[in-house]
Amino acid sequence: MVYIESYALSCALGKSTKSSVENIKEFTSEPSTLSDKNKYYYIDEHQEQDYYESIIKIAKEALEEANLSKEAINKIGLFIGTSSAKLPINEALLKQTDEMLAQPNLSELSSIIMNALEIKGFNTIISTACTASANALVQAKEMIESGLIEKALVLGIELFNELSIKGFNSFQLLSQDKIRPFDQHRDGVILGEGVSAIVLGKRPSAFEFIGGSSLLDTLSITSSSAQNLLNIMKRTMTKANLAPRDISVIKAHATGTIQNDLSEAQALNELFPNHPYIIALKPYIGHTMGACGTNEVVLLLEALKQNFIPKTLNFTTQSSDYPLVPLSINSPAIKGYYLLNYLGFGGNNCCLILKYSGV
Amino acid sequence: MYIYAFSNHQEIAIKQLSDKKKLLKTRVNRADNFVNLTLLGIEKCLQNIVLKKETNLYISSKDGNINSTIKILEAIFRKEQLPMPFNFLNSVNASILFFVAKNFGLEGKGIFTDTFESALLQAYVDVKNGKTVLIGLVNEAIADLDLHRKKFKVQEVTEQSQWLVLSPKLEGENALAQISDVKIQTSEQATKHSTNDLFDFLEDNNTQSSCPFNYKHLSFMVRKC
Repeated sequence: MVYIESYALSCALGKSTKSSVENIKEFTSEPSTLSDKNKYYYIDEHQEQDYYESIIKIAKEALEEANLSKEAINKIGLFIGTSSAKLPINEALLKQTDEMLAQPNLSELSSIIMNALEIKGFNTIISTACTASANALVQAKEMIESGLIEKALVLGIELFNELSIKGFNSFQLLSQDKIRPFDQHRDGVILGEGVSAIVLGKRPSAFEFIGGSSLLDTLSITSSSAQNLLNIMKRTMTKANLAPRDISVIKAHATGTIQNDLSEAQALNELFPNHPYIIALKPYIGHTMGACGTNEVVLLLEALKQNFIPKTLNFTTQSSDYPLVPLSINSPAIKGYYLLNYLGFGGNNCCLILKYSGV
Repeated sequence: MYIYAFSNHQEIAIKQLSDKKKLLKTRVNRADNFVNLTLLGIEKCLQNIVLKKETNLYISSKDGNINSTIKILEAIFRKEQLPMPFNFLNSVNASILFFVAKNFGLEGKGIFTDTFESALLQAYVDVKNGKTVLIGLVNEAIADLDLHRKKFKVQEVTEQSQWLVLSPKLEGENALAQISDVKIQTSEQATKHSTNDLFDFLEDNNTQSSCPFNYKHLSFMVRKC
């Protein structure tokens, strides 16, 4: 069995995990408006030159919370999930020096983090767009279960870069108003930055990582199919010996885009006709792309630790296409199984199941 | 873990990048140099083998689709334009997984990683769990070859698309080689081999029948069957 031994997060809600989740109760995070009128959820006071500092700080917090020996840190497996990787650095250098891709090599990202943290073992950067850090969690869990490593540090990293915003804009996927998950009037997503760290291992905690699955989806390169989402949720539950009735809460991917919310709602309605609680977390911190996997796990777990399940913001009108209403008020935490969906560009979907057994 | 097929596509670019479309059996819409290089290596690998749709896919690359990324950064920062949508899509590392999955009918897990050795260890876990894996390393060169030489401090510009089909022992199928004694190493231990060494060993019929391989964080033994 694999457990979440510790976690840490920095996002638009706050620079610490605890303060971020306290801010969910009295929602205080609003996106900034960029010069092109698009919106973006920034981490407060984060600067481009803080790139590695921001990541290393969060990783250290999680390692300290897990109370690992130096030897255990040396041997820990490092799994980084990111979509933009070093693009923020390369964009900053391009603005300063006009040099194109001044630091192209993806692996330098892990080298610098490993040196700072004194990690000397297995490391990988997983870059599967918006499923990256969710996939990193699945890969880390499977490697722990194989016996090759004892513990894993999983990092989700996504910091401001113009390429992602302008790329999403080129597909007309950005909302200039609000992220409205599953709402009739949803009109797109707002991107955000966030860094999170999760330590996985076999030391029992309140949060067991039951399992996860990842599947290629070849219907469309830009959106996910309901059938693939149905398949992946079924597969993840089957691997965990669970049935739909066993799931207490679903954290949907819920970007607020027309097509992906439609596909996800269709799949959820078919598999869970008696809806459990369905929540969406992107309206709090924006869509943090490659980091949303770990960011949203940490937000959810810390909320449970603070004894509530977060409501979904900005839902006002039920869609005429499907009967799905997300949780609209903060509700007391419940013990049980939590299913989390992640959908990605490039036909890549991921589903996780966590078990909360009470603090 | 057994190797059932491999390909070792490497080419040197002298004046410009080659037109890989001419060598591909199938044409793919919106495919650029990185996509075609990837597909070319896989076509060679799968000449004599049909993969099950459940096969997992690992693609590793040092810099990903570097030419698409450069085009987008030029559009944004030098021309102050929005990127072309499909340049943006091709620059997203996950997109290459889509092109391969669509073209070869794969529906398993798809992972893009930075290094071949890290992909290999993750594939090893999958194979231990009974899965078949298609795993490759793809590095394309910058189309502006002078820029490539300058940026990467090399004289010779090479591109590579190297692939393996890995699986547990399959009844009735002849494996080419076996990978065993897979171990994680700490970074203090010296790296002795490159990915090319592994593929050159597999390709060369005159070498010894077994060879230990040492990478920065991984060691294993390969025995030809």
